[in-house]
Amino acid sequence: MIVAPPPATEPRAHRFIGKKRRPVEDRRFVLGRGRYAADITLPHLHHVAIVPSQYAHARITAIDVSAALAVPGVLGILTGPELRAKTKPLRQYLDIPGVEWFPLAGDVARYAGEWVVAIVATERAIAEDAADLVAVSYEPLPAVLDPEAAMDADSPPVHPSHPSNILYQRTFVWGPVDADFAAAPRTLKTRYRWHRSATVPIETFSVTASWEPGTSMLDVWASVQMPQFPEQIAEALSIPLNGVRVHFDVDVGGSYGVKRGIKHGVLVSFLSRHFGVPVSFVEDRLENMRGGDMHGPDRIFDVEAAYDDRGVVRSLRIRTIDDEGAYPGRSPLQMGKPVGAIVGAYAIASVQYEAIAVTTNKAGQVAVRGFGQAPTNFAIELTMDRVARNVGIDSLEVRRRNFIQPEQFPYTIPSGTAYDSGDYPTVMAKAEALADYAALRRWRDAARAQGRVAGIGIASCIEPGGGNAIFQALFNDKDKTTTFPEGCQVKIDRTGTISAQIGISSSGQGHETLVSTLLGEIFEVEPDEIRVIHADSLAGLPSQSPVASRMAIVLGDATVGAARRLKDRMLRIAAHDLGRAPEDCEWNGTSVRVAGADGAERTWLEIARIAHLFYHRLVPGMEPGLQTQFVIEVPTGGTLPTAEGRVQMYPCHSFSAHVVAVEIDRGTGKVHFHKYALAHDCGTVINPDIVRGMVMGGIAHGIGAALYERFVYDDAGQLITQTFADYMMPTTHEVPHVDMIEHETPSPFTSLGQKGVGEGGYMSTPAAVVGAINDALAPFGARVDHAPVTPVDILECLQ
Amino acid sequence: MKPVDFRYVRPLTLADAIAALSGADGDGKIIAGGQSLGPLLNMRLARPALLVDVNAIPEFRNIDENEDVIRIGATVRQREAERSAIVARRVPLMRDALPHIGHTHTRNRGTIVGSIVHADPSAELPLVAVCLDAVVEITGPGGSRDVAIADFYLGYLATDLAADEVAPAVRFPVAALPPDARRGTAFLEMARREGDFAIVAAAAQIDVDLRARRVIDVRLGLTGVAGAPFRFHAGEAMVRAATDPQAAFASVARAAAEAIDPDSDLHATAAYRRSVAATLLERALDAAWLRALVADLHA
Amino acid sequence: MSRHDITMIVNGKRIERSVPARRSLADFLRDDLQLTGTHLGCEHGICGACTVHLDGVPVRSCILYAVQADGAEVTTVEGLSPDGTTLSPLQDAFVSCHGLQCGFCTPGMLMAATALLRENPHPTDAEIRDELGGNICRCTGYQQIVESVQQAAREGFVR
Repeated sequence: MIVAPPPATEPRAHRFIGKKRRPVEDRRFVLGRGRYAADITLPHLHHVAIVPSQYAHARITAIDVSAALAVPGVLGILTGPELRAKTKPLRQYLDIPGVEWFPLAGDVARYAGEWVVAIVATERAIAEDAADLVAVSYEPLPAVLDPEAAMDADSPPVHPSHPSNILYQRTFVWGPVDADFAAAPRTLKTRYRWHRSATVPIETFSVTASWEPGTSMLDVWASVQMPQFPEQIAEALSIPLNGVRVHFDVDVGGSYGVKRGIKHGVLVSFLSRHFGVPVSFVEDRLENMRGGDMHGPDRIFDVEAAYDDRGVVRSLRIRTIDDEGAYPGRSPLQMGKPVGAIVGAYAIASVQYEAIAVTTNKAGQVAVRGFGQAPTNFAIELTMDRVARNVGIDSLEVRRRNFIQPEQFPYTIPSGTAYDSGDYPTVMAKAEALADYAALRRWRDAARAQGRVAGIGIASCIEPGGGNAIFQALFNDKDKTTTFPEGCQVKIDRTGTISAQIGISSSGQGHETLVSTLLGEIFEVEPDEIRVIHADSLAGLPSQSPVASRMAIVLGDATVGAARRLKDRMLRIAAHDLGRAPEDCEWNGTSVRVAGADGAERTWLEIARIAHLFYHRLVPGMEPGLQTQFVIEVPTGGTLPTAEGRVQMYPCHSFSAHVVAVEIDRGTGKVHFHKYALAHDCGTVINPDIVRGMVMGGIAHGIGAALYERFVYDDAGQLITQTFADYMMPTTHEVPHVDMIEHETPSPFTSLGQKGVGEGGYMSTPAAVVGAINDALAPFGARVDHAPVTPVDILECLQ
Repeated sequence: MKPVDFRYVRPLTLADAIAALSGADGDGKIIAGGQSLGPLLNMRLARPALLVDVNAIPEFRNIDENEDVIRIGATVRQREAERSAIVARRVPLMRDALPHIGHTHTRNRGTIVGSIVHADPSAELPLVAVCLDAVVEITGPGGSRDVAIADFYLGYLATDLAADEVAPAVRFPVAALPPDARRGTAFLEMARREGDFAIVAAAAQIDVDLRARRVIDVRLGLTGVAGAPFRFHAGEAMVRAATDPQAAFASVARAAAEAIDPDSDLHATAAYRRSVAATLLERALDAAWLRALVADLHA
Repeated sequence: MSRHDITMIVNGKRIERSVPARRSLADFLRDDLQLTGTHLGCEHGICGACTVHLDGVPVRSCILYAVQADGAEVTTVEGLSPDGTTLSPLQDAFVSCHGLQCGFCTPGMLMAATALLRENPHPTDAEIRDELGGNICRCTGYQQIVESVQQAAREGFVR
């Protein structure tokens, strides 16, 4: 169901929106004065180290901490049973009674690296010394590591209290899928494997908690990007929610989804209350990689397509199995969000979608940039490439033939989501021109004639934005949450200066710049004079947090709403003071005057002073001061899914088209980028440099997922990619120069037409890069259907 | 990731360094560049009771050039060697290998001798040392000895350096070329990313008598294919014996593929290593040959 | 625990402290001197977030121990600004070109770029990527970082 849009944009050209502006945040970071969670010091601050499980699956039969406790500087040691007796389990978003998740293992360790014991000491090094002396006795149990094996009824149960290792399984049928397949001239079936990787920020998860008995208040500073983080701590520790204050003015050193930190937050908060001191836990890199529960989607896709001889796809069947690891949390919902763009950018008429979540003895999965869209788009796009190859047309042409057309918007896809606006053919054409596609094809063909291995890949991608997390309800009938709000508080003080408070932490997205730019535009004030601060969870407004490419949309609109409301109030104050009706007055820059008349006006500062100081001149009955809170629901949100699972997922849909040309060293299988060009459309652009940075960053993550990054477990369930020596992330040498061009189809659902942009690069690049590799391998009769693709894989194809 | 509590000394002489190590009863470690040892310490994979920092010993800092040997002291940084005119002129194979090692910042601290002695089977400098018949100088409580590089590597990460010994220098015999002879070198590496340890690397050095069009000397080696660098003597013999050396390079590469028995691991299969080792060796031979014949191709 | 009295010049100021041998230079800067601009991302010498200058040369401070820097001169990101408030030309270029997002890798990037521009005031893009190849960024995809360094080179890098 679509809700009516808010008031239209101001007709005149923008003064600040869309213009180059130095991001506000950047200054403190280049001075080395960012304030990250690990930088926060408190008196008597103590530090945590963890004793992890050495086994993928084992009964914990004894824990001897006596030697560890004797280490000077150790304050205390906590084991799982003690913690579990005094806290509630961490939240599961699926309906899976019998699957319990706590920060520390109880009598069973369920993955190698799972946290078993927490040591609190005056220094981290001392805590580690003590951790060395903790003796844990294990009785190894059989482990299940393969997700398909985990679906077997005979597989070792990861959570014996749950009926099986299948935590979720549902098939959605939208439209006459069987009939469409039966009628189709052609069908194909492929399996794709998206291996486990994550967006791995350079800063690990860090959290400091301080329980103050004098006020019964828990203060938390965390490197966090997580909806309901305060709620989940309050719930687990049985503290009233208004007794938990999460400070969002902590700079977060990158998150891209993964800084959820629920178990970290609960553990450290408990330790602080239990031991009566402020406690800080800064994950070291090994704790993070192995036991931080920060691995991303780990998927098998079986995709069938029904299509015709022109390569037009009529129907899709998609079956996905997601390996959640031992403790799922929010991660299985990453199979739900893609429902909102399940046909990509294509006018596919019917879809069958089966989503299966399994548990294995590996680290838990977490939300990653795109929330499941990147692997899903990988499967969809590579399928389109396959269709193209089967009917003998170009990868770009097959997309043109399948695109939803501009005149079809708003376009409702089979799963119930309406795409708000877009012009896919134009954006693709821009990418094609920017890449000089014809010249690329000549380059490729000439290279092939010389015996070189070269290919071109195309990917298009819908990037939903807005963060209507209705996939919670979609995957769990008991979850009826439909409110996913965002708020902005704006104040104009008695000296006329403007400040805003946002109730979120930022991890590089430039929210302070976003809000001050919008306020500057509406108020006609220099944005650099506007202060934006991060409120804590008690002082801040309801928020669903900066996930899902949503902040420009929802925080943007909350900001615009607050600004317009205050501006209207100021006009009324001025009108009253001028002795005229508000309708007879207008803003002229930063003054209000009588419309069409010279002479009497009230300046911004005068109006502010009336509001704050001169009650006798204020509009009767009006609140003194100039401040407002503006909270909005995500546009088009507020409706539960239908029985068939049809739902309006996110409101806004950005789009990008990527063109990638690669050359492969025939002797080593190494991939070199010859060209990377893309066109993207995120509606109205607010800050061009921030937008460009988001796209480029997503591309870099995408190159990592396509060619380098993978969490690998051995047969014993040990993570063998625990360090940056083995988990390889792209450097300046692996990310090419990228040519980028923009297009803007505004969204009808946002006040300025803005859409989201934080995730699109990551959603598109793996498909484009692997598509290019497949094009290069085509003359050899080979293809790859997985990510990451390594030189070893490629050389095997070439030989 | 903080290390265990260790004691630390920074002696000013080699004798003091030896004495400190002896006093640690086998539980002491030398630290020079620290680029390999630091991570091991932080991850508690190395747990010495004593760290002996040799960076203050003056005679360790030198690159000594003599008529037929280049002697590199224990704390000569990789970056210094990279910029050294002596190394460029006299040990060009090392000059070729250096840019592949880690990154400029790690080369600012990492040492030539440290890398050779640390003996990672995928590292570049051990391969250079093996190809050039380097000699490791070793000093311990019992005195000093020289160990030929062919005897130095004993297996995966294992060397002939005892826990109470220090390697003050490594010597590279670099006999002068006869007149009319030119040397060409090449070092080629396959790594997942720039700066990573090699999956495989190939080193080739060819000395050609230009007038006689004859190969006087050839050194060939591979790393990443065994527990220690692989010196391909049989291949060298093939090149020396060939009437048309350049035409023989492909068979030399094929012979190399058969001569090695690499392992599979996280980063590459044995088959991959075998295939790429041969490919890189052939390319290295071609490049070294070309550089020997055409001056100024080393720029 | 073994403690050592050490002296060093940090950002031009003489510092005297007592530290355990095992304290990394990074932790010393952060915890003992409250210079938290130097960041820890991996503690095994790969990510480059901890890059500082030791006697003028960029090094990874997470795998160097403070005792090893006794008697040395150390410069951190906090030492790039002449007065702690004014941006150096390089810092200004990073802001102008938005060569950062979350800021966590940024101090390491700035120290690396400073060393590069001192030696090579007009680097090519390839030379910039080479010198910064040991500093990992997960936010930017590097392109705007390269542009920032180019901007600084154009503006006349001074320090």
